[in-house]
Amino acid sequence: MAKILVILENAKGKIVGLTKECLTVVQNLAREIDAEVEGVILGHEISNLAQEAGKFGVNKVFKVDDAQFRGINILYHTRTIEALIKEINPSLVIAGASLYGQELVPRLAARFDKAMFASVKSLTLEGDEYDGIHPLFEEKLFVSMEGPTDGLTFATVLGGNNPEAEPDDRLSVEVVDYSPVIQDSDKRESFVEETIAKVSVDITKAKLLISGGRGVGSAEKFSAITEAAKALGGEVGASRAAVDAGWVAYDHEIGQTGKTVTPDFYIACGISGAIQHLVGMRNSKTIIVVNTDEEAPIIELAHYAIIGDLHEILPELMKQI
Amino acid sequence: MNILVFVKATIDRNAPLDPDEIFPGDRDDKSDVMTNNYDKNAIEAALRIVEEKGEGKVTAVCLGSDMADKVVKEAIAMGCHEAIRIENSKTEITHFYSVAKILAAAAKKVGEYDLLLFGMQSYDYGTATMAPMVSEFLDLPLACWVEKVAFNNEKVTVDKVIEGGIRKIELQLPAVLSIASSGDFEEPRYTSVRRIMKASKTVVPVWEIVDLGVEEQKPSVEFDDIEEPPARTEKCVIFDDGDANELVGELLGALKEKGLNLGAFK
Ligand SMILES: Cc1cc2nc3c(=O)[nH]c(=O)nc-3n(C[C@H](O)[C@H](O)[C@H](O)COP(=O)(O)OP(=O)(O)OC[C@H]3O[C@@H](n4cnc5c(N)ncnc54)[C@H](O)[C@@H]3O)c2cc1C
Ligand SMILES: Nc1ncnc2c1ncn2[C@@H]1O[C@H](COP(=O)(O)O)[C@@H](O)[C@H]1O
Repeated sequence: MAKILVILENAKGKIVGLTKECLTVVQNLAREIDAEVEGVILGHEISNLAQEAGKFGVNKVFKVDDAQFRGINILYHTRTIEALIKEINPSLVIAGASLYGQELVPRLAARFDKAMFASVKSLTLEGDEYDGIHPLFEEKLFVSMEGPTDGLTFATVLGGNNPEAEPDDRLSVEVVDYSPVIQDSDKRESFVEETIAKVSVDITKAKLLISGGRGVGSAEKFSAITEAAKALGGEVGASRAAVDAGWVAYDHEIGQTGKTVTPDFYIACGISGAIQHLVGMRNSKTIIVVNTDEEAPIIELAHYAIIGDLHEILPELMKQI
Repeated sequence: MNILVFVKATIDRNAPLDPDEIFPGDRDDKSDVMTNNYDKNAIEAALRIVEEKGEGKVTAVCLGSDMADKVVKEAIAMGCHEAIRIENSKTEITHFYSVAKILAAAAKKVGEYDLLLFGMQSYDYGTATMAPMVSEFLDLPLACWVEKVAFNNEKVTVDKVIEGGIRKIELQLPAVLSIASSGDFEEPRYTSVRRIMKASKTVVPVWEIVDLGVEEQKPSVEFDDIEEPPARTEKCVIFDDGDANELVGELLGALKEKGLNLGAFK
């Protein structure tokens, strides 16, 4: 029986949402090719996560639970998953195209001297081949990628294109302890430390989002965004630049490393429209831009744009609504 | 400190996109071609590292057709000490797997390097596979989306972007980094007309793929049809004439006409 190996990414004691999106793709594929779904999870003190993976249709989870995996070391992960692949012979190794997946999976594919389905929106079966759709030119065009289903294939699935798999409490899972495989040369990479912000506010359900970027200008001036959001009954969104500057909490970040949102109205103020931001908000129903630069790339995506200073436009908007 | 920085020529953002002509080699007009944006962040990083160390050399490496000459010369104009173009006109190799093999072989041929720097993504294919694949083919440690670097002895400590924060890791040199569009190298330097003129006179060595000793291999996953997403029917309505009061009034009027009520959430 064919086997699919899913790399179960986890952070802050949770299986990440993108892995659950990837599991939706995997469940559909597994049904079509009648495959066994197995997972690998690496980290420290992650027993409950290995169990949880079962609810998402993973039949068997290889758990690498070791203090050396407390912080992520891609060389350790590559080596250990390489050993596991050699042992269980999956036909497909798949992960979310998160920053972790995009670093790990191409490296792993290259180790097996394979190309891969890199950052695909979808991965389906077309006859006896896999078909994956990959965006070109920041999603202005798309290309289909094709590869045989026999042999070994690697893939990463882009976020925001598939729903997260729904947990099913009736499903059970076999958890197998798997020992880390690390060679001396893998110690050329070492984890030092990381900071990850906590998330407590959920902006993904908001119908109206007013988002601020670097163009807002300062932490004090960011109140222009918060006040407008409050007055109009919306939530606050932000670009990574505004979050990095410390003007607003990470909970509000939208894009590749933040949330994917689809509100009725998205008002982008002082945001230029880097692709990393656009992927998180491009499916909003009505997009309104407030920007001093008429050439800001976000305008290409917008339905309405006011060319002007957000600090003049937002108060006026509050007045007129 | 010897640094190789990998730069790619892609279709210019302002040139019309044509699904049949997605590579610079497909075009006749040089003005349709530009340096992949993110590679300028990588060049900036390379130059800053060498400037701060007070020693070293930056070599730009590009696999491309002669349409890419412009890109290699821009790298020189920005301050790279040397450049190499690997000729890619007849064979037109574009698959990331094959490109990664060629770039890894080119690095081997250069021989002496401490750092290989990549842009974080290409504008055309945008698979972000190049840095991880090359690092694997050369058996080197890797960090992607690097915002900050610090060197000590034979090591580099980097700050890399992760979801919701930053991870600090330490890599033994030589190492491969992809440079983030945000962080310390966010603003690539501008180059002057004078420098561009000067660079345009430099003769850039052109290497042939056949001399790199890369085994030809069919990639296990191949690219097929290119599709355009359904075109959007309406264009963006732009309000740029008037004071704030008028602009907002026009926006609300336009929304109302479409039956959209921004005041519905109060
Ligand atoms: C790995 C990685 C992941 C990333 N993930 C994300 C992500 O998830 N989300 C994200 O947003 N970014 C992300 N980024 C960062 C992204 O690449 C951009 O750097 C960032 O989105 C830029 O933010 P900005 O648009 O606010 O700032 P800028 O690009 O600096 O744009 C500021 C805009 O404000 C306008 N402006 C200035 N003053 C005013 C004014 N008074 N009134 C109105 N407009 C004004 C300017 O014209 C300009 O268009 C990521 C980067 C990396 C490397
Ligand atoms: N043909 C090429 N020549 C030189 N460098 C390249 C080439 N293609 C990709 N790169 C480098 O690899 C990075 C990532 O590209 P990609 O993996 O295509 O998204 C780019 O930003 C460049 O630094």
